[in-house]
Amino acid sequence: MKLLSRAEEIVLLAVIKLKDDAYGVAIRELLERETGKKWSFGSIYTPLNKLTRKQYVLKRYGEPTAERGGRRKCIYEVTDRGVAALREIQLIQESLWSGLPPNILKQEN
Amino acid sequence: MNIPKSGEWILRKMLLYAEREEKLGDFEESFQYLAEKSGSTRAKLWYWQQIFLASPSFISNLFYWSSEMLRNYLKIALRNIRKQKINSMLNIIGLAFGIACCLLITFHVRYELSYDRHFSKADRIFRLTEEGMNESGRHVACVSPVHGLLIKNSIPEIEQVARLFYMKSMVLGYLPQAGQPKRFEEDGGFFADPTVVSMFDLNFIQGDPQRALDDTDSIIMTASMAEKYFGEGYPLGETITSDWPRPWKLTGIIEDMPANTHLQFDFLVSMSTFYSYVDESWLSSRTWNAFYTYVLIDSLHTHKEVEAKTTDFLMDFYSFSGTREEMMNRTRLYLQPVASIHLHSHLEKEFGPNGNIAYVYIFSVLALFILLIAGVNFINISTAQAFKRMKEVGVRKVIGAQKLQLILQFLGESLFLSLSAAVLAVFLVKLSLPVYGRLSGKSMIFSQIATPQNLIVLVAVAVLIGVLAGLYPAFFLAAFKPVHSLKGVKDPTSSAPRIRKGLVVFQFAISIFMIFSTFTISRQMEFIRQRDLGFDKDQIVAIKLYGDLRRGIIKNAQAFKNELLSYSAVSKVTACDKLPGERFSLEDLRPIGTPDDVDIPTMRFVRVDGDFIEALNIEMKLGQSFKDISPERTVFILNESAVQSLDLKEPLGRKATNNLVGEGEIIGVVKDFHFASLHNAIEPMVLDYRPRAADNLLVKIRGGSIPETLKFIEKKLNEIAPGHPLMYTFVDEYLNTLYISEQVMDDMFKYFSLLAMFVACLGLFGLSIYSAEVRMKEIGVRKVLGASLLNIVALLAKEFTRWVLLANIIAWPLGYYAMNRWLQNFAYRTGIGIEIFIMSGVITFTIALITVSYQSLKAALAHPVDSLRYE
Repeated sequence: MKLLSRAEEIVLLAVIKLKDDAYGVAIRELLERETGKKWSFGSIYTPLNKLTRKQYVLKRYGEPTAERGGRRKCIYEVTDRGVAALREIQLIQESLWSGLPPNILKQEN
Repeated sequence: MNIPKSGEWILRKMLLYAEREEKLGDFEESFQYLAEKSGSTRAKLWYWQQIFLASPSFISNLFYWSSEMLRNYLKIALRNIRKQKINSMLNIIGLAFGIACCLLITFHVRYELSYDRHFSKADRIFRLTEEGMNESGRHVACVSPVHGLLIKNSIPEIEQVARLFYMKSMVLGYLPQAGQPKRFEEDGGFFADPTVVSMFDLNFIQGDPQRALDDTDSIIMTASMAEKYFGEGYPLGETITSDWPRPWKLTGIIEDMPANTHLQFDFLVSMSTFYSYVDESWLSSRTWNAFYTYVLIDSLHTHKEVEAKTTDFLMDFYSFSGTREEMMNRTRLYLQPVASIHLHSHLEKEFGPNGNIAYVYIFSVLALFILLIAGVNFINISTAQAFKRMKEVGVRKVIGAQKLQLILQFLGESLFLSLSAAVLAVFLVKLSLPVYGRLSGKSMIFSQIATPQNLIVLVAVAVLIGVLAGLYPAFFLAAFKPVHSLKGVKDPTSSAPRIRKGLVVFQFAISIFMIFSTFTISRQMEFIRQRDLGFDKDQIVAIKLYGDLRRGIIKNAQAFKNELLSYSAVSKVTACDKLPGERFSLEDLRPIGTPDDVDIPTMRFVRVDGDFIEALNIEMKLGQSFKDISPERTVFILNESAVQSLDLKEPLGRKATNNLVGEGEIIGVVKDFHFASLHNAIEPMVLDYRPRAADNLLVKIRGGSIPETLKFIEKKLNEIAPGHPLMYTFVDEYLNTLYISEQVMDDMFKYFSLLAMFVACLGLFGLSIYSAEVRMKEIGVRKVLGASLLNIVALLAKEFTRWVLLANIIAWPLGYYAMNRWLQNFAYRTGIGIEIFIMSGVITFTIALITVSYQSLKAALAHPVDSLRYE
């Protein structure tokens, strides 16, 4: 199983945090808020497409709203496999981060 | 705030249908938010920027799912083929047979059309032909030796003239310094003008093309003929002997003429040689139509323009004193395009039997028919199969498959099948080439056929059939309401099966038409074989007399005949110049006392010895035969038609003159007999008593074995002229060659109608499977209620019976009309009897019934539980 990429990891975390409101616009806003950087739609759809194909997220349709031109939202929902993949990446990161020489990160700041 | 329309249009195009709504929604929501916050200009800018940045993601997604769908389609297609093995097999095999047949016929037709088009100047070469316009006048493929010499002077548009004079079949010999002499019978020899070389692009392997035919006593021959005499190597300067005086010197070897030309020859001897042999009076004759004369006209004029000038030429040529109109009513010259000779020309004195454009049309139509049947079949089976997939289609639709996707899916599947069929067809063609070669007498090599150009055409045809065959089921199913298909509504009375029924009727009508034609053609061929020709043609060997053999036998004819007759199996011996079936020469017989200005009809002349009439068992009507007539006398026997056309009240004892043999007496009249093919009515004919004109010896064999008798004859011939091989043919076999093109057509129709029937049955079989399946529940219910096996079979067979009956009713009048037209080709022909109608009907009926009853029985025998427990 291929590991999650950084973009996939970030988007997946956002999907989990947003719960029932995890659709394109909300995800983009959350990421811009959290990272302080510009996120284009393209940069969130690419990881979302990949997550969908790997079945880490499922799609379901929400209610249509007026500001969307009467179109329905597509709400993403994390699956068990998605959670498992997150956990895997988390464990790898923790083990990689632990045991670094203590000074290195501090000097960066 | 409105979002940019063009931007949204681009987005739509890039998005999968399934994600279109959500993504457009996301874009719009953010756009509206931004527009309120920072104004519309910024929002629009942002919108375009987002489109640009997101496009790679959208497009890659589009590709990903498309390929995913394609894989799914392929998987489903293969599963379907596997699941319906029999039907798919029938479908592919049927179409493959159809395409293969069609391919073969197409090649045949294209080959026929390719005759003489390969000469580099083909569009400028024309053959001069002359037609006498009076009642007994004929259109002859040859003109006099003088025509060719003079026409160039009076019509400047003619750049070049090439004349050929046919020398009848004779035996040539080569006597090497050491070793055995080699002798072969050759019937492809001509005396030819040197211009033949450049006009017909003769390719020289050896020798000087410019000068090879210039000198007297020069001969050039084809490579394959040279090999017979000289083996390996081309020894220019060697000499060849013949029946003509003086040996000929080999001055050139040319490549063999291609098979697709009317101009078939093996060797050419320089024209000056002929001029040195023959008397001046022959060569200066302006009415001796014996020279094939080809003219090359310049590229600025059409042949019609040149033809228009021939009337003036003829007036000058014949020193004619009347008006142009009178000339036109007397004799005309024509310019025949060389490429049209093979299929369109059927004149007197052709090179050999030509093809017939009518048969080219017939075969083209046949090819089209077979392809149609196969195509219809393909549509039929595909549709029937597609119906079983209504549930699949329903599910696809519910999930969100688009109409276009479904259409493409079914089109794709049918393309896949038709392309497989095309591949199979190529193998079938390869396998059937030997059979085709035997049927048509034309040898074709597979590599000749499998050219890239032809393969492209083949693929194009397969694609066309695939698309056409797939279109109907594709659109039909795509338009189906998912609710119906999911509920499993299969309504046999809906419009689709009606169309399919129509197609089956159409198929069967074509098959019946072909069977009908086959029967008629066979009957006519049988009629030809069985017809009493008015003479005895069976078990007669015709032996070619040539060289020393001829001289030896003529010198002492009676003694030699008696020697042969001493052998118990030889019952009759006679000699003649031409065989029945060969073209008898056209000459005049003018009864003494006929005024000079009265036109007399030309007649066929054959020169025979004293035993001819008895040996061939020709019936006398009046007077006596040639038996025991002194060889010095000139006497004629006429047939009834000749008496009639000369209007002789009392023919016996009348004196008459012929310009070749002079004055003689008519001593008898024979009943009309068929000395030529049955295509034509019996012509007026004169038997001329001329024992020394023997070119053929006819030996009637009765009882005893033929090989032994032939061996005996060979021995006797060898005593007269050693080293002269026996060359013979059987008269009845020779007569059969007159009907070769009909025989080819007969055989082809037999095979192809069999095939058409086979393919149509495949279609019927496929449909009966479908029909039985659709009515499975009905049959189950009927059985539960007490229907017998016979009831059920009858129920299922009934509708097929109706279709076949309808097909018969459609096909009969068409067949009758077409075959009646074909029979008009024969002066002597059979009728189309009622039994042909009945036979073609009964045969198709039986075959259809057998085809259908297999499935019907299976359905009727099935246990009702199996069919009813479904719900």
